[in-house]
Amino acid sequence: MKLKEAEVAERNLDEGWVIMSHPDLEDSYSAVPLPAFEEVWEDKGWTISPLHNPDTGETYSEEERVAQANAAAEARAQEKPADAKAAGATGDQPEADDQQAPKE
Amino acid sequence: MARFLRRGTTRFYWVPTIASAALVPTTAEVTAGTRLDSQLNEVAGFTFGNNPINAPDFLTTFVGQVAGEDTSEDSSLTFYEDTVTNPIRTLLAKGASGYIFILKAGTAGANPAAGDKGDTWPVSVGSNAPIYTADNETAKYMVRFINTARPAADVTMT
Repeated sequence: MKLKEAEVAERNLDEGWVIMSHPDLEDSYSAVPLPAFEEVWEDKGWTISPLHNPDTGETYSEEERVAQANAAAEARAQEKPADAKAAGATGDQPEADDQQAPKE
Repeated sequence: MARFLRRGTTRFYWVPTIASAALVPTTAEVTAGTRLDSQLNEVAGFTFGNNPINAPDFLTTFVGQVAGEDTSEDSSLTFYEDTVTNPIRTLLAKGASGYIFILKAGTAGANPAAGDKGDTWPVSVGSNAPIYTADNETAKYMVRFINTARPAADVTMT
């Protein structure tokens, strides 16, 4: 699959994904989450591709891409508890269907 | 030529990239993918169909039809969940795009090679979630796919 650079750049910078390529596959790239790359794809010969972001004109090395993906993943992980706290503060309750009827 | 049991014969691969516009994968592309069937418990969808349109006329009482829109059923794969490591769940993360390549009658040799036939389904992962039940069964998770383009049936690997 040939990915559009701009699409790829936006996606994996925001979500912690990386672009990988394979030495046996010419001009083929795939976007994957960093954990998937480390857990599965790296062992199958895929490598993280340097990334050119056409929006900023910057090019990132493999090391920079891993650091960016880790930072994005951490940021997203920190957002989740904050979101849950905010939901609790507003008094959000489970749907009525999820609540058990009181025992008589 | 012989009848066969799908279990133990049919192989499922997640292939990240296929260069061919006709969705014909190469041996290198399939080899660079990941085989899924060792943890695969159930398959749904991955079928191609058509919604014919009724086109009756006044000449006859028979309701003739013309071909309508091509469709595919909702597709999903259900995998066993491990207490420690679930690499397939990790790689089939929500939003991942690629191809499910199904070698329906397996492979001629030990590994996929040129000449083996299969179906290619361009997909992206719509959801990837555990299944919760109190029934007496092993824990599983289901990956639902979005069929993003027309599949290619009976393609021969190159």
